[in-house]
Amino acid sequence: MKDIKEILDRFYKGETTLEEESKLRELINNNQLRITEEKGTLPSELFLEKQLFDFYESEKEIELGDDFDEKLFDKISEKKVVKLNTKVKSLIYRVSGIAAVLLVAIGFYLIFNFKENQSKELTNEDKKTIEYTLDALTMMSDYINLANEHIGKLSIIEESFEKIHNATNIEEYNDYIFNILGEES
Amino acid sequence: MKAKSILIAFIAVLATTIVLNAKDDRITKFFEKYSNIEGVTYVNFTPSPALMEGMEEKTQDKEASDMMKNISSVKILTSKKRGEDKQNKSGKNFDNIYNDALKSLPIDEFEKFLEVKEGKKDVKMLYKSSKEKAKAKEFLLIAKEGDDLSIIWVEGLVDLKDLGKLSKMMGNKGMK
Repeated sequence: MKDIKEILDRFYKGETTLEEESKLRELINNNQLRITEEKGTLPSELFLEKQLFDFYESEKEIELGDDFDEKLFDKISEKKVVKLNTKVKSLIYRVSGIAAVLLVAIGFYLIFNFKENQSKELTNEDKKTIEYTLDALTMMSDYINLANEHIGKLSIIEESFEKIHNATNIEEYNDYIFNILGEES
Repeated sequence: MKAKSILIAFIAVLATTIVLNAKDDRITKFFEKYSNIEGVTYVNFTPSPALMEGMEEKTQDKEASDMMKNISSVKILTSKKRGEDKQNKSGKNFDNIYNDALKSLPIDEFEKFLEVKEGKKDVKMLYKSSKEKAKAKEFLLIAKEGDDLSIIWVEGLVDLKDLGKLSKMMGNKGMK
């Protein structure tokens, strides 16, 4: 009994050899110490040890079946099929469609914006284009002004004819003409 | 019967589109034909943000740059007869281009705005009116002034008053 206690002490400290552990297991399991659950015959300090060793023994008896691995892997690879209703499905499709269109639009915007930013520096060709275009538009502007000038003169002539037609005497018309000439000079 | 009507309508739309494009093509083809000829300067202005920014910088006038924002395209052909060129190839090109312009450009589709014939000066300024008052949607200028030839085509909604102001603006900025 004393030896058993000593071995148990060392067992809990982790100092026992495999042989001693085997001997201990044998002694307790074979009831050589007459350990029973009945009070009086059971040394109370060894009752817990008996239960512990019984547990080890019972766990030892549990064996995994041959198909355990297969079952385990089947469980892992099992796909969960979630059935979505058609409304949710169509919503997902629509949202995906809008997202795709937005993505393409943003892509195009970024590409063109990048190009625009890149082309901010004017080349010599650009400067020549600006120069020629402004000259061309200025030339057209000159001709528009020339046309306006002629239209202005024509309107004076037209007005003069009207005055001749309406003048009651020659002095009245002469005054009108002198006024125009005064303005022109 | 219904299918036949749809087919006829489709062909009509297609034909109209082709005819309208063909008209524009005559102008484009003319400018492209002489774009690489010796003694000729060809400029094709299509507004881009960079070019418009350059224009604004050059004119430094808000009114002028606002007017230019409405222009969608400007094509320019210029040629100059120099003393020694008059009898050679580029001299011939000068006359050929002028004669071809009067023949190939769709002048009959435009309305006359101004015509000046004075000595060696022969200028035709034509326009296509728009629905908006005092605004033209296209301008065509064929100007032979002595030894200078300029053929200019402007596309875009342009206010005649605003375009008229441009020469004063540019004159004040010291442009040609």
